[in-house]
Amino acid sequence: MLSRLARAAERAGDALLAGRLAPWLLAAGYVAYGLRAVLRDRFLDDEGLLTWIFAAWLRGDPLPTLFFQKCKPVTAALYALPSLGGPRAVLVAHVLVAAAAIPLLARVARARGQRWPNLPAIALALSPLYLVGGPAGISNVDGVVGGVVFLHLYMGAERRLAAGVLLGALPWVRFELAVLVVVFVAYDLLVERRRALLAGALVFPLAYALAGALYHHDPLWWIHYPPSLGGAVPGNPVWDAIHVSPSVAVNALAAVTPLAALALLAPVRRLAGAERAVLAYALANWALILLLPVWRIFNFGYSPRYALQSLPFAALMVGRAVEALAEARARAGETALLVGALAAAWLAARGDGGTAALWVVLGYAAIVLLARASFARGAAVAALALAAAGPLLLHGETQVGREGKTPWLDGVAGWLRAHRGARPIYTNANLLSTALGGDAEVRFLVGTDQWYELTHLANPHNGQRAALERLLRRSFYGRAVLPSELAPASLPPDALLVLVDDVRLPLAMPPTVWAGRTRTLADFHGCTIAELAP
Amino acid sequence: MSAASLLRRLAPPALIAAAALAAIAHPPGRHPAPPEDAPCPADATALLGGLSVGDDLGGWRVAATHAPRERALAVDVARAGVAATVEIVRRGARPGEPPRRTARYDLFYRNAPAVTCEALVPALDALARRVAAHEAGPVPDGL
Repeated sequence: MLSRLARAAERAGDALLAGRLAPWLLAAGYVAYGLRAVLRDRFLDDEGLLTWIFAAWLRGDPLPTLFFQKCKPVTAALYALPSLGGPRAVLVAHVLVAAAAIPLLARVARARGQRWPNLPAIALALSPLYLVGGPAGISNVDGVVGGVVFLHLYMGAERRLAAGVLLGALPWVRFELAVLVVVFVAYDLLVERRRALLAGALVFPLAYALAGALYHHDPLWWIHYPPSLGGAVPGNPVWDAIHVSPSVAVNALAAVTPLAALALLAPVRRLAGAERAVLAYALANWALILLLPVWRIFNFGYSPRYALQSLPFAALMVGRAVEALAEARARAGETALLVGALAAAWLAARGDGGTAALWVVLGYAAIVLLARASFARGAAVAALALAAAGPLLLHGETQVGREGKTPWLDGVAGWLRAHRGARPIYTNANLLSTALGGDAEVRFLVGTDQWYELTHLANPHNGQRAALERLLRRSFYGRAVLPSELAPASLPPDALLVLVDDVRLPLAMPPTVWAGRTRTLADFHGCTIAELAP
Repeated sequence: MSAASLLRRLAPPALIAAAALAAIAHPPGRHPAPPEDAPCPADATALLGGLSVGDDLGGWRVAATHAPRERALAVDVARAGVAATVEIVRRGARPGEPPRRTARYDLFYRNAPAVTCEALVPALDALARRVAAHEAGPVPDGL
């Protein structure tokens, strides 16, 4: 009886870790979870709504948007058609796109001969950030999907030219992926001594630069109007609040996947061909997302989602690492990794009192213990269990979605539905317009930093900036009001002001102008509803 | 493989697991956050010089004093329908330039957007004077 049970458990473990059906079931589960979240607005997110906004802009006025690099034109083009159905249609499409990467990553791992090819796909599907990011709509997820398709073309299907064409377009999905281009083109040229990837990678940038030169009447437009500011917006107080600590770094990596640190146990000497480039990119991404905000380069703030691009690459290396552990080939590094992980988790807990990272270390210890006790499959199942625990342990560390950032949203929306009547709403709350649905016209107060970016990254000489301003006024978290237009005298006397307590608000509503000009009607701890004082 | 050899192999991960469990049971940085409506404890009230609800702070009325949360001691003040919160943190614990500071503490404020720092200055000054006069004592728990 016992041996029959053991055999059944073995078969179930094999089906989960290596069966061809499991990745598709995972993808189906991801879609079901994501669609349910979209329908309930569970992970509504300001950055996620930007995916819809830019896609709608591209559909509304294609050329100015296409050659406005800030809008991530490749992503905007991908969702232009779904944007016809409004924000939730884009979020549904986003979930489907994200789910498609799950079986594809398993296919890459299988093509590379991994022992448990579903393990990378499991790490992807159950990544706390990926699970939330799909229904939230954040473009970092699209970057991950792009990375997986690239891996499939380059390492799975061995179609290098096509892989190169895609690779060249990826920086216009997420700008951090420029590092991926550098790592793989360098690897392909210098190690493999081939030119196909480089040739392909030049196609999109050259075509885009040439077409843009015709539109902008400027061959160097891509430098004059770059995708991002070179540094911080001057005077933006948000920069004062950015600091990277051990708890921030550890929790960010764990939110990408709790298995992340296991990638360091991938047996470098035994990695075949491009797998070393895969590991190099994952490490380079981790280093950059920690250092860019510290150095204040490219207007990078700090958010765990910036580390998400590493996910499929780290996941493939986790697959290799667990394989090596099970074959007792990574022993030298195991103890060092466990000690290092414990120290990092302890520092993280010391910083914020959280224990999530310590649970992750406990999971690592269990995986190593099982591997050393010669329970190879048990070690892989333990890795699977740790991945599955990730969304429960680390959901709070994703910093994506409304729960952490706007806990007051339902209260404010409920108050407005009950009390606003026909009064116009003016707000700096990005999610309010979507939360209220189509029945309320919301005027969004564009932040001075947002307006600064638009005016510095768009061409004022060929009509692009004016066109983008028209799009902005029509649709940008509501109908936009520019900072220069906001004054007590310019608002309708019955206007309702819904104001989030944001350090940037005094830049748009200077106290010298607004002190004593509003009267508070309701306070939702972090968001105030006010009206103009008589 | 001998039992001794197996034990040697299993000891490091087992020890790490035990250490992780111990740290989970007693997290090094855990200061349990009091509920939002928890009364201001005696040590924090002492730092505020015995400040209590209804007291005057530079023309502002004290609406509430809170137990320290997230390493900040908050005092709600109100005046003519306008409310603001002054937060006291240990020197350097929070990035940015505080509008007022004492030898050991920084004072920041969170406010409804229409309240200016200038309007709050009398309250900030009054609170900074109280803190400066009582900061020689022990740092309140949770700060």
